[in-house]
Amino acid sequence: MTGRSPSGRGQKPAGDKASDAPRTFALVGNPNSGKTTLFNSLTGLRQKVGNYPGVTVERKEGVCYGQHGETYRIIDLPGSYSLHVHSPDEEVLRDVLLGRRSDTPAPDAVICVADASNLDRHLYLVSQVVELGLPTIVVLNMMDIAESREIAVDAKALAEELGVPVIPMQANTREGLVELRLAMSRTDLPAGKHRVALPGSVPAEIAMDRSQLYLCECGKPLQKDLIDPAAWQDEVIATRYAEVDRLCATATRHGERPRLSTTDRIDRWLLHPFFGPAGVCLVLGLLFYLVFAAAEGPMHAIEGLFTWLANLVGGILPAGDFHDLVTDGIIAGVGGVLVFLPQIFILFFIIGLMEDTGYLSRVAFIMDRIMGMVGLNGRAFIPLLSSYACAVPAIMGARTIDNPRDRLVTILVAPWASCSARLPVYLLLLPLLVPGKHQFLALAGLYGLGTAGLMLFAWIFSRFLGRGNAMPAVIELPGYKRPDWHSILLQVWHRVRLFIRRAGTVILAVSILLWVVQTYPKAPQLEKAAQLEQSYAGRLGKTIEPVIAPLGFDWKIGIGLLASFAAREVFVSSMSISYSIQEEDEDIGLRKLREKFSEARRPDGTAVFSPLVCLSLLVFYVFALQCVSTVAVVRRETNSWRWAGFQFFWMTGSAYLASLLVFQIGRWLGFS
Amino acid sequence: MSNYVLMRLNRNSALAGVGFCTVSDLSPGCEGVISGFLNRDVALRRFREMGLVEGTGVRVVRKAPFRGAIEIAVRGARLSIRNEAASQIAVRLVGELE
Repeated sequence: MTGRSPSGRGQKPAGDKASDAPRTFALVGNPNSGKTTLFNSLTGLRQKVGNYPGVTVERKEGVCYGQHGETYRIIDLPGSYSLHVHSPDEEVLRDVLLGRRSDTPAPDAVICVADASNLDRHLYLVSQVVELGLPTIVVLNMMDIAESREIAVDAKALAEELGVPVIPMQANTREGLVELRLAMSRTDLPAGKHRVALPGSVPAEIAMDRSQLYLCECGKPLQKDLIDPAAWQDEVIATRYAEVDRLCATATRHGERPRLSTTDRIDRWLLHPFFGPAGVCLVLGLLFYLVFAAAEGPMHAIEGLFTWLANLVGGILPAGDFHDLVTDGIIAGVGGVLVFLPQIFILFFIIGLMEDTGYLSRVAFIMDRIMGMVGLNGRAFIPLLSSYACAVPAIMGARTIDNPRDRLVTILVAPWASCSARLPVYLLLLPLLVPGKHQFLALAGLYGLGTAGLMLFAWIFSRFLGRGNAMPAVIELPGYKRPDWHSILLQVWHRVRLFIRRAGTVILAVSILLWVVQTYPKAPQLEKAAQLEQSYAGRLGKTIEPVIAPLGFDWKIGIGLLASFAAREVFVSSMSISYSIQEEDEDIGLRKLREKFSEARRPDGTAVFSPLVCLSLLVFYVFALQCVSTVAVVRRETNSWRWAGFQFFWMTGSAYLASLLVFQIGRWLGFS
Repeated sequence: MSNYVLMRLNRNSALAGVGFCTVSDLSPGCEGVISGFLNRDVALRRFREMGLVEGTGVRVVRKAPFRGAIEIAVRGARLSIRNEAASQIAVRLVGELE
């Protein structure tokens, strides 16, 4: 670990006017404390969202102005229940607070947010933070909810106990914001004086410097002569909670509690053994419909816009290599990135809405049993479902899963769900395999096969990846609340921007590369099909023919497979070029392509697209990861090419194996 | 219930002599006071840190069907925990509400 010693940092006075850098506040709080809402109301659009280097933890920073116009920097740290580290998110929280990260300056002061209606749990983290000895402001958020639950909170008494300013607030209505800004402007912001008396079993070295409490890991004493922290940490937790209970007794007064809160009344229906799952099906059906169908219009519009743009620019530029690069490479590539936006927008809007109102946790509660069977978290359900529309937003949506192992497994298995880009390929090939009415069943079978693969690999991966990191799946079921549209839209905006900036650049680069290998070397005298054959892609297709021949594929299919990496549906257009189909109308073009397929013969006179080859090809498409965008997003979300490569290897490997088995066993059984 | 508790008592001799059952044994509406955890797994520390310490009252609000997640009320909050985890939290029965 790099960084300064935590004790050395206290020398910098809170209101150091000598330094030019703006004062930095760290924003900490439990999940569901309304921390994000407060961050948004303090900073508005003056936010920077990124990643902490080396880990998949979102880094949020913003600029805020004090009551007298001063500039402050605010670091929104990941929500946590404790400073004891269980996950990478919490490690970032601890290390930033203690000034141990070289990429983030140690905060000058801390704003600690707690839910006023739930102080008997939230004061736990507050007491840990106050003990660190940094100048601190405690914010009691959701005072309105506390009031509705007949809980009277005495902020003054609490401030006296903790020795730091305590500010009652309703972040969603911005009540208390002025008081917070005034407190932030204080140059004499006091450091907390409150300390929980540690039990005698805690080694003296650790009791001296409270930050040491969070630096020692169980089973790994800091020094050889120290006792394993496991021996005394449980005692520390119990002592701290005893103190929390005492603080609550002095600072809060509970009135007559209503027997059933509004949340209870809603949950009676939404978590009902029958109506609960029914409601989940309904909501998810709607979500699926919107991501699948409602996004179609805008996606077509974006595609149309870029086709128009390509024609427009193509008309201006003189014909030649540069013309083709701009129209077919760059403009088509940018279009290929932006075409994801409607789906990403819709998915994140709905997930955000569900998360903000509190319904997402209920879905997780209901689905937990089923997801648990394959070793996943209830929260993985929504990203995995939306993966049937497109894996790209689904993988980004896995961020709602707080357990890092479950998040990774969800990201790794999501592309096994048959996404909408596979559908054109299925629809092209199925009529060649199954005639007539049974196509629908066969289509359902392909989706089922993909789902089975997803579940099988979820089970395998969750067993063998990061077993040491197992955390009990605890889901907090917060009270229902009205959605905060401002926060939701801001969140969607950050996601969209991140997608374009990080994943978009990779997708664009690879799209251009794929265009290059299909276009060069140029042979203008040849017609399109022959030109494709002698291009780098065609040569590559022929090179890989020995590898894919055992699956029943010839080199033309090989080109289609390679072209599919831009997006799977490109298979159709690439095959159309290979088989010289020139048809404006899509349906007629498909039919003609299918006719050509059924007529196509190998040199030895056997059919290229025999039913068995079609089945093998379909199975390959069900399993294989042929999507640059997915690889780029996985690389971004896991922060490493390693996991992207791992996923590519497993998916494409399983596809190869499955197709090989289908084709070879089929042939052995006498099918053709 | 008593047979079940006895069976557990035999299995966990360390806790023998203390009449107890676990959160997963409670039916919805039942309330208990946490008396301890059945193993020293580090993962269970997360429960303690969320306020499930010895002496804290726990009420089972509802159980999802097929031994699914269990919703508990603890310290004024609602948490959903898995059945396996709930069977690690020992409680003393307090009484039935509602």
